[in-house]
Amino acid sequence: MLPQEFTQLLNNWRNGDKTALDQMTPILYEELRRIARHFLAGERPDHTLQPTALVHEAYMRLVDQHSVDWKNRAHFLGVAASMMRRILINHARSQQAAKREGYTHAIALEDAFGVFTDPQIDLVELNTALQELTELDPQQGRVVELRYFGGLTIEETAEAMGISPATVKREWGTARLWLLRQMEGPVQ
Amino acid sequence: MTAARWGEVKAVLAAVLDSDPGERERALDQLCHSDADLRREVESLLAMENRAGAVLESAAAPGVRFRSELTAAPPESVGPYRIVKEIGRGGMGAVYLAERDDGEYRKQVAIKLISMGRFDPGLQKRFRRERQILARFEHPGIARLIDGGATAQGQPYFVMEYVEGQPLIEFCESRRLPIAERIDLFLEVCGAVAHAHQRLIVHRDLKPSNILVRADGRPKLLDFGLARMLESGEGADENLTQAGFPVLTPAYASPEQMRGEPFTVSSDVYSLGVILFELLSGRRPYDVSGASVLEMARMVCEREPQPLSEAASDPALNRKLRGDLESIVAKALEKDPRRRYASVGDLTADLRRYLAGLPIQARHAGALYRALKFVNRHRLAVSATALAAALILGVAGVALYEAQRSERRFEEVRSLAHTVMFDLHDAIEPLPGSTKARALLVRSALDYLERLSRESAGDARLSWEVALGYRRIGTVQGYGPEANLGNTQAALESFRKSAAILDRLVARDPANRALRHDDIGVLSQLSTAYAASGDTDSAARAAQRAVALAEDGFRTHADDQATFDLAVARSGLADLSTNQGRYAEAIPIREQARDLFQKLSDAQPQNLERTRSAAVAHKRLAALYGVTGRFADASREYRQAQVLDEARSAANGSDLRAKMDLSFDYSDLGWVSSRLKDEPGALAWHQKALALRQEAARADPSNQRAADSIASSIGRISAVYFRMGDLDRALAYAEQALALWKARAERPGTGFNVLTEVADAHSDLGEIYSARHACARSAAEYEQARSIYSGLRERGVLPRSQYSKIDQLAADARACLNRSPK
Repeated sequence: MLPQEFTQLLNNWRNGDKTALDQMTPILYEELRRIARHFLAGERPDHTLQPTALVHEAYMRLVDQHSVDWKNRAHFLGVAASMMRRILINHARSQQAAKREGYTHAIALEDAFGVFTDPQIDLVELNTALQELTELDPQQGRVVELRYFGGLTIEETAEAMGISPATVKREWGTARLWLLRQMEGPVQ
Repeated sequence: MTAARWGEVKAVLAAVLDSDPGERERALDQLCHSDADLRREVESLLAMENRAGAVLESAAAPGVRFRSELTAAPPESVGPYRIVKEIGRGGMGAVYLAERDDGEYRKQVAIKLISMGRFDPGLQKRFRRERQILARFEHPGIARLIDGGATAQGQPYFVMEYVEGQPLIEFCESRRLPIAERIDLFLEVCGAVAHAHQRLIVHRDLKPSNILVRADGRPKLLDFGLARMLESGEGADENLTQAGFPVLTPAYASPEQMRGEPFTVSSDVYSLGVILFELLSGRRPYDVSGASVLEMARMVCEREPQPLSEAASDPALNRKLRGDLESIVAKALEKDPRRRYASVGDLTADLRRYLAGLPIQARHAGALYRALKFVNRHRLAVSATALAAALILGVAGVALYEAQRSERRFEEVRSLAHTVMFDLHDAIEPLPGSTKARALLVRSALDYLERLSRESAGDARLSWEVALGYRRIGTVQGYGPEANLGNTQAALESFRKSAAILDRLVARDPANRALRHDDIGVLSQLSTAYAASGDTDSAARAAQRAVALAEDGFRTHADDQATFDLAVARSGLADLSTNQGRYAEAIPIREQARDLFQKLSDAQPQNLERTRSAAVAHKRLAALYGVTGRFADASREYRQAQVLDEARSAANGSDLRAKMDLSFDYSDLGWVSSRLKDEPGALAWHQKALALRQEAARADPSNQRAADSIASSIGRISAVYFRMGDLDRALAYAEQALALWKARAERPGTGFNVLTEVADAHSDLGEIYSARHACARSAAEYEQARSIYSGLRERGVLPRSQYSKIDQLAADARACLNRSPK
């Protein structure tokens, strides 16, 4: 797909065309996967692989550099963050399944994404907690998705959501504690 | 909880989080009023803050930091230096301000602690070599390298002059320096780089953060020579880096560096071009931030940089940069080194022309020709082997790394580590100069296996592989006649680890014959390694343990493998006793080994390797009989060997090795016949030996061993004639032997042994002349022998045990004169 075409999809989505997202998803997904592979192939083992870098690079590749404005980029980052979440959760789930069922089948997508696991966090549990938070407070849930799964900065998150950086900061700070409590249970 | 309630809680929580820690209590009182539930809710969330630590920090997740060293707390001291504080952090590691207390004065230095790689045994050596070079040049624009070494944990560090200053770009930006002043500053930087280049020292990692400008406005370059030291290995291993990756900063690296090609001074010119670009326009020629290394490489190698003036956002600046400056920068940034400025001097000359308003060279051809010549002169030679090895290493490392991070990590890593350790290792083993690469391969594979093994403490199969990994690395580190790193102490340690694991596994699974076989093999290597280190007691213990294990195996299941293992283990134990001169002890063990080898050969008479092993077993026993004076027994064993080797030779007439083996049987039979006072018999054996050796030498003129053994046979024949009283023949053969040894000594690669053969041939002649009462000639020959031996002593190559020979030869020289009537 040409960058111009992808940019067009992005614009359509921005303008309310929900099907555009479905068309973008597999392309972006594949692109992220490819980039992650390149990262792994080129970096030293001590490199910290952050989704941000992936997402930014995917943007560079997929979006027509001549026609996009800052808004477009913010929206793209938003799409990518949802994508990262999906990838990571899929990965975590399949890992658990693999543990249960033995390592019977290879999980094609995860070979490049195995790196994204923080040993201190059970992503499936986090995802459940985040779903609960999103029901309580959709805006806050989205902030977490962008910040945590997309690796977006406060400013980028603010830009993508059209809210102020101060709000993002507040939402993120409180959501973090709520999620942790939800996952760990209240202090005894 | 309802959405509305969460809204309330969130508002209070956010306010409390925003207030100072000391004020929180008050804020809670104020915000919650009398709502105890609200307060409890907020407090329970606040409690998470303390427990959470860095969990769920956006910066820490969901990416994972793989190497803890990068974030580790600074050490208290490094070498003799006390760490004061961290002052920087980069790709290579952390930089600290440190002090050395010498009682008298306190000296501040900067210490760079390298954490990018691991396991680089050559670094210390390179450091010492490079330091001599670096110490020789001093320049006010270059921070001096003071010291360096490795910490107790093996982390390399460099001690450098501490420079207080601001990075180049920041310095210029904060002072809003005009273009001309920036160029002046840049010219000073170039002066320092050119100074180093004249001494053939390249920087390899030039970037603005490596250039500090001090308060007085003088720039100073950091890290000169470090990249080279960290990057290059010994000799043929040039370009093979410790972790398989070169040291470079992608934004400033030249296309040839990105491609991993040889580094030339022209690459420093390129990096200077990038710095100049950034210094003048505020941007870099390529925007590589956030790109993968592969992407960066493609950009740098394929895409044309944007013109300097276009990079400047400000129209006024844009105008100033257009024209000559743009041409100069573009020429420094040429992708083909031959089209770049040939030297830093050429770049600075053009900048000075620009400042003086003179026409610049960048716009003229002709520089191309000079650059071409220059690059050809300075291009460093890199062997294809080292590159291939580096490539394999890199690929293997990435594959392992990917596998480990992946879902199927366990089986995957295991099979990959196995592939790396065995298949890849074996594939590059024949390549000359691949030893270091092999060691790295095995080491990295072993690291992964060890990690897996720790995670699955109960997996015997995995522990077994780890043990075999240790055995592999031990062999590469320093064992036996194969090319190795010569680090016998490390090899010993690896064999010990391997044996410890295998011992444990065998104890758990005594019926596993393959396991036992491996354990016996490792114990034998361990024993040899101990013996080489001089620890004969430990060597004996390991050898005995190998024999005991092999006996167990043989008792329970005496198949060929068990028989062979036991035979080899016993031979090893016998060798130990033999080497310590305890021959009587070795004999019964050797007899048992001989029986086993004979049994194996009898079971498969057509298997010529087995036949050879049996023959060798007979001969080694025969030698033991010989040194203990049991000549008849020795003769019998040699005869057995002779029969076996004759069968081998008959089975395959073109088998030169069998012929040579047989010639040694004949020669040994000649020796033992003399001992049994059968000189005519001895003569016949030696002549048979000589004939075979001549045949082998004719078949393969390059076979040095055959050529040497001809000289040796002739010498022995001379000695037999001498004992038989046939002095004419003895003399003729002795002279022939001397001539052969002398010719041999003329050839390159002559060792100590050949020279002693020449000396001994002279000594033999001296003895013959003495018997013929030709005393003057006798004395002359003895003197020749004596002077060779004393020459060897002066060169320090003569074993102390042979010193007495020198005096003996002097006495022999006089003996004839004293004896003969005047």
